[in-house]
Amino acid sequence: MYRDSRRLRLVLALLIATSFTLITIDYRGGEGTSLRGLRRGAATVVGPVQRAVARVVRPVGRALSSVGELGSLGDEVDDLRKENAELRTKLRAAEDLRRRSDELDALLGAAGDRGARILPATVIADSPNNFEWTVTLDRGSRDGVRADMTVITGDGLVGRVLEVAPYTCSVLLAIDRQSAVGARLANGERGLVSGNGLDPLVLELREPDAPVRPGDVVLTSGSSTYVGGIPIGVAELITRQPTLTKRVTIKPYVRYTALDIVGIILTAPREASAPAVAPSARPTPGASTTPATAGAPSATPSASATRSPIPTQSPTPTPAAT
Amino acid sequence: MSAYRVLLVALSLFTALLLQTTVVSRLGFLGAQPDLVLVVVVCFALTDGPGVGMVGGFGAGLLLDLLSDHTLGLLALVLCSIGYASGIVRAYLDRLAITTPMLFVGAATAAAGLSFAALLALLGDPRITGGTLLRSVTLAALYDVVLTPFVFAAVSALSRPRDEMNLRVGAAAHGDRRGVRR
Repeated sequence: MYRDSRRLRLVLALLIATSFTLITIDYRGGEGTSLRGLRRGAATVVGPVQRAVARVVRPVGRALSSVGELGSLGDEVDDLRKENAELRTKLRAAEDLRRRSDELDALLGAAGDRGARILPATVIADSPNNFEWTVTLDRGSRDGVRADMTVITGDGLVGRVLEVAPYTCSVLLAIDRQSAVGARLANGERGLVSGNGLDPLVLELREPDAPVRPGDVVLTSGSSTYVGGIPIGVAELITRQPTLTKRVTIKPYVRYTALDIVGIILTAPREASAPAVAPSARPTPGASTTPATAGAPSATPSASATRSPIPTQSPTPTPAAT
Repeated sequence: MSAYRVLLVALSLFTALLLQTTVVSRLGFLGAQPDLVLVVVVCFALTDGPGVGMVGGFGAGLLLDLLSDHTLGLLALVLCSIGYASGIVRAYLDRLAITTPMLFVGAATAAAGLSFAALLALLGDPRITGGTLLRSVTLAALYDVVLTPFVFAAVSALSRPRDEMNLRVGAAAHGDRRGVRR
């Protein structure tokens, strides 16, 4: 018995040592280690199984969560209730089908005729823990998916491709706390949208006195990873930060907790960075800063000194903003 | 511990992992999801002892790590420790009431959630914030406790009939059935 428990502790020590070794290697190594190959290997093996399981099981999950959303009906007789739930599930399933086809239509329509190539994909798995916001899609390198490709729905930005396996890929959602998306307002003001989990997205504007109002549309700027011109959401609350930036919470267009059919942008559309809602009139920088600086004049001198007022990139408020 | 039993535990954990990623994670209410894999690990640790708990926890945790975005090895470490600890603590209990697995799972979920978050924070992961952490850990523990009776019944049903005797004696804690006779 003693020998047994000693062996048990030996194995435990071995497993814990292995864990720490893995953590150290992965943490130190970052992108270039062989552990990355290990991840891809796991996704290659598990991915197809997940795909098969998801095909059977996810419609059930969708129906379940739909019924859950409707809530209880109160003090009804049990039989009636059961029948109700059954009918409701059937109805929801039908609605779900119609919604999926609508989503697909919207998605293909969003591609438009600007030369974009968009690959439709279905979400087959979500992140298995409460801290990460990632999903797994049923498309992989065999379908032409590469890391860092932009993922959208017909409504707006979903995120970017993280890891690619032959038959599946994982996507970092824009609401993940590690996500940072280069963004701009319709008037050309630039900033960075970072994820905040289930709390709203936050846009940090580069210019502290940039004109922004609740209801302004926020789009991707198309700087590095993300394709430009994709709507992210609508500005809600605007607060001034002590760090000379402006913090804007954003109500996203996409419902990140109920993703189903998405599109992977294989080829970016031509002229993607040209905003569809670009204002035509461009007033001088002096005129545009007047309404925004009225709130906190003390921050203005240092802020306007640090930025270079290039006329073409000057803030251009829409008629509604002035 | 027969090869058949090893296969059974491995298959159960893999099934739990598949269900966790495809469906359970989808059913997260109020910003938290139950952790089916952890519940299964704890239940096996209770029926089969700390040996099965730690090896099963390590394996399932490692696969979860591989399929996630965080640093590799974190969940392997957490679930391995949880499996071992559950099996060890269980050895000190004479009999297993219906509420025992629920208590174990509740405590295990809280411990796992907090230690995983602490490790992530130590490694400088920006995803951990105090408010969301407390909310998600509390909710996850609650969901897991609700799931436990069903999972435990399933895991017990998978155990061979003579395991029931071991359960009562509490000798299952050594992960080796022969330990009962000694």
